[in-house]
Amino acid sequence: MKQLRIKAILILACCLIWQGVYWTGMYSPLIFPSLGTIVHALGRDFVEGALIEQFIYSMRLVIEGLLLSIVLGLGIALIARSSSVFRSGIDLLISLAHPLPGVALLPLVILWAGIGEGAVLFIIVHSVLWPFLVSLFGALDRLPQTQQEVADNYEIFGWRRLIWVDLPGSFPGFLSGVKIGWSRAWRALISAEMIFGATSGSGGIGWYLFQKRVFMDTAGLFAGLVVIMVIGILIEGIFFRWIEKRTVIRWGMER
Amino acid sequence: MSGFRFESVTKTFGNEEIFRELSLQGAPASFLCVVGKSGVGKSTFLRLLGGFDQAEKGTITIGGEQVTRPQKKCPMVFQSYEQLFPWLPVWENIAFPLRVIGVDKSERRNRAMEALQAVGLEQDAKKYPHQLSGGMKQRVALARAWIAEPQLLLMDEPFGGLDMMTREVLQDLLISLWREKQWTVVFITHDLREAARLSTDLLILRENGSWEMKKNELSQPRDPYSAELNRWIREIEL
Repeated sequence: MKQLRIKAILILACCLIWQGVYWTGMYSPLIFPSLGTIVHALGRDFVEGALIEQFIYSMRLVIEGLLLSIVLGLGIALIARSSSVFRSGIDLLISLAHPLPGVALLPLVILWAGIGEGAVLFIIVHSVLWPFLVSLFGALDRLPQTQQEVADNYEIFGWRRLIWVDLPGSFPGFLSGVKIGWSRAWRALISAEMIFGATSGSGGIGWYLFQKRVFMDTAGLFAGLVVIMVIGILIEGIFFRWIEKRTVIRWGMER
Repeated sequence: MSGFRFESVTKTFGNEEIFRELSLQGAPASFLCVVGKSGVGKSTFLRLLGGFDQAEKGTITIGGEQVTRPQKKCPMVFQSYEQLFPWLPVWENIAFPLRVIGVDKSERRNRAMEALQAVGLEQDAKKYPHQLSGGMKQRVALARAWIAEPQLLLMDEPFGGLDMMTREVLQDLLISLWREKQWTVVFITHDLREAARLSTDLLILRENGSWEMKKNELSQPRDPYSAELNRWIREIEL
């Protein structure tokens, strides 16, 4: 509760500084709008429905990309747990692909997959899968030897071992991989949308930001940024915290 | 329950020979305690018997079957508290061996509650391992091994990290379960008093790879501080 109060005070202080700078008249309102104008733009685009539609579209793509990456990651982990050759190959692939920014792949993706949703999903999966695997493999490699021997002792192998023992045992690492994946997915989506434009219907949040810049609607641009930040706070601070409380904290596995 | 047999077993670590041509057997329903100084190979003996390690030469059999890998009919109770799964409540930790063989949830719960009652933890079924004391965790590990209906129960210094009072309570519990179930038990300890209380047979491992088997015919129940038990301990040369 105390932390929440501190955060609220900090946000309020930032708003006051912002408004203070606006009142000094140092910058043109065209590039530095007042808080009131930003809130008005936010309300306007919500009421008109564009922002909600674009928010839902972006969220759907991010969730699809994240889930696809998690499923792929778990499949890869399952095979890697039983084949050291495969694991070496994947380690090499991770070291090659992990540092490669998704945006750097865009020209290739456009050639291969065009500029539809499939291309955006490809960029999201590329941005999420490698850091997720690094986190998951790290956690799997640190599983306590005694727990592994208990699993050997009760003769549990294959996918049952992964689901019943290895994954819950490495859940803190799994969750941190998903959290990293979540933020990487957002970044990838926004970048891809700003470059690809609308891949379907009215596009997503990235396309919203792009449009606001093109039409010099700075208040609307900040409204879009506020939406992205609020989603970040809700997902990180509330959703993931809720999962942590019901898993790693309840199990005494928090680090 | 099953007996076990080591036949001409040799095990080395690097250039160091831990066992050379070790041959011995444990009778069904016996309680073998393995003692010796640190580094003589007590845990290695147990790990070979449990199939966690392999010998360079010789064969190890349990109930006539050669040991090649760990098996659920020979559960191991470890000293480390990490042997419990922190994400499972106590009753599900205990019921884990039943889940592996596909027993349905209500049956698992009933049998876990029965095992919990046997180790005196029926009030703690829904707690998670991190909410338990060291002694309670070892009771849970014992209950998990118990529910697996072991042919051979392997225990690697299970009470090693506990205070004296808790150890004695758990020794009493183990003796009563062993008498009731007639398990064959192999129990590693560095505490001769513990070995004197629990064992029917004693295996003494020595640094030069030699070993000695000794019968423990002290009368039951055994008072850990009786003159008879003290005398028996003094006769043992490690």
